[in-house]
Amino acid sequence: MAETVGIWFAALLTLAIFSFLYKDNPFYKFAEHLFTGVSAAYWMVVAFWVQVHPNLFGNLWWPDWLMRKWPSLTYIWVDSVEYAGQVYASNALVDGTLSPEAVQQSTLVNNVNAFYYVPLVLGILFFTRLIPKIAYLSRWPLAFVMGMAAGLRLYVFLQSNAMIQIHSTIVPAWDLNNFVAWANYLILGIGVFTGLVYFYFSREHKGVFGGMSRVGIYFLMVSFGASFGYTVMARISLLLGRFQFLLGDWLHLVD
Amino acid sequence: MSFMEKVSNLDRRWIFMIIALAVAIPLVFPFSMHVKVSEHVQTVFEALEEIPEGATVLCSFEYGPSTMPEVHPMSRAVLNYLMQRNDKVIVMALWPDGLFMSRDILDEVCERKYGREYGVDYINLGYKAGNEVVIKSVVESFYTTYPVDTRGRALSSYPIMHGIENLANIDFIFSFSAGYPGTTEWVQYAADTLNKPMSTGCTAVQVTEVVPFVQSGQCMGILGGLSGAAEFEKLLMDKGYMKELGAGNRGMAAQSVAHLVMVLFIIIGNVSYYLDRRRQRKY
Repeated sequence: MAETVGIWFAALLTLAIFSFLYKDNPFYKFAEHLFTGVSAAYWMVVAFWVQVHPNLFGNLWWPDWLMRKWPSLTYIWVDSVEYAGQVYASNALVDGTLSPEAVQQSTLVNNVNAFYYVPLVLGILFFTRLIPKIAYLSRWPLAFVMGMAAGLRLYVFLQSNAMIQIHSTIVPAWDLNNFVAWANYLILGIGVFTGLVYFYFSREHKGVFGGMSRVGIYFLMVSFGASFGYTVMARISLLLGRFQFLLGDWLHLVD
Repeated sequence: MSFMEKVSNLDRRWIFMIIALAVAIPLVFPFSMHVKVSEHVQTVFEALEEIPEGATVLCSFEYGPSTMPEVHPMSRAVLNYLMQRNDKVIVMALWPDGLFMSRDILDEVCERKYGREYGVDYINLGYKAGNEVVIKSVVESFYTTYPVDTRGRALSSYPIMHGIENLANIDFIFSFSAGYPGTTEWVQYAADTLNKPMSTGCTAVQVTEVVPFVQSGQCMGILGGLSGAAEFEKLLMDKGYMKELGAGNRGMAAQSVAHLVMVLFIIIGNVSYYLDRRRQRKY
């Protein structure tokens, strides 16, 4: 019954979204707002319970009584449990391995990592944006995030997206053993060179230089065409998915 | 008003209607399409064939319900293939929705179809937030990144994880991807870093982004969009790994008709544009 209601609800929402193709209307607005609200709530809950709860809270110090009082909420913070000379994984607190009495008498091992107080403080600083007087403090965690992201990505981008790509573009002539390979790498070479010429803006694009730039545009257009073709395929696939749901799960017209 | 003038002023809602019919009719009255296996899909298969049977393969799920019609058929086909070869499969997700996608496929393929044992033949480590940092982290250690699996048990308690400390102990990486983080990040942070073989099944939108990695050998082939899934299913069936074609091929008829309609509209649009321009020059 619940599944049927769910399918009907999903089907009607799908039709409400499709109705925008005719014109904007209250059904579309309802579905749009519902989707936005549910998505935002879903992401917030997931981020808290999957990221903050186990990773941050699990590495901070907590009093034993708190973890014993709500084991189903806090067992993920516990690294191991010792009871009657035996060591158990933390889920022993909630999966029935240990009785409630044993839970109270056990020793909870929670390895605190003081380093995690740094992200805790930085995380709290994000909220200072809500207090105008100390809003500037919110720039510190933002600076940390930007610096970390830049540092993390710089090396791998240089390695994977630049060095290896350049290396694989420049192929030794003796490796090209047939006409097709030669033709392929000639086209590739012309495409790379003229494409770079198009993006060289320190010289006016006229004469021979302008001609090369124009050839570069054609290569770029071919690339955009390929992207467009694949995008069309992707969007049709998504439409197909919705139609399979409407015609299959909802109306049972297809298997 | 001439025919071409009528076409150039056509209400776009007619186009939506025709595209909807082009997708719906082949679904209700299905017909088979000839599927030709492309070089990229062949490369994926050959790369997988090169690893020894019973190898440990990491499958990462980076897609959600919105891209399910494209990527789900690929993950189903690849998992079918891996189970037939008795490979060990370690599953993780870089997208929260990827967890649900992986559960669906593992339940359907590993548990119900092949009756494989959880923790012995396959394991689901679940979703971990952090994007590429998670990849960097599993390069160091699975155990610190995922202290427990999706069932809340310590990884060390599962036989499949014995001898697996980090990504270096994995034989092959397969990324099912629909965006960021996804295939590109797996190439950058895992395959290139560890010189590990990897392949991908990704949405069609991503293909032009990933193909440079395929051509340079950083990624071993690519299953691109629904057609990639259909080609891989065809290949598996030809090689005897599948008895019947799956969802990828079932969708290809509708996909192809819709593409034909799109091409037709593009031609009509261009002809109409040039005729209109010629008429304007004339007067």
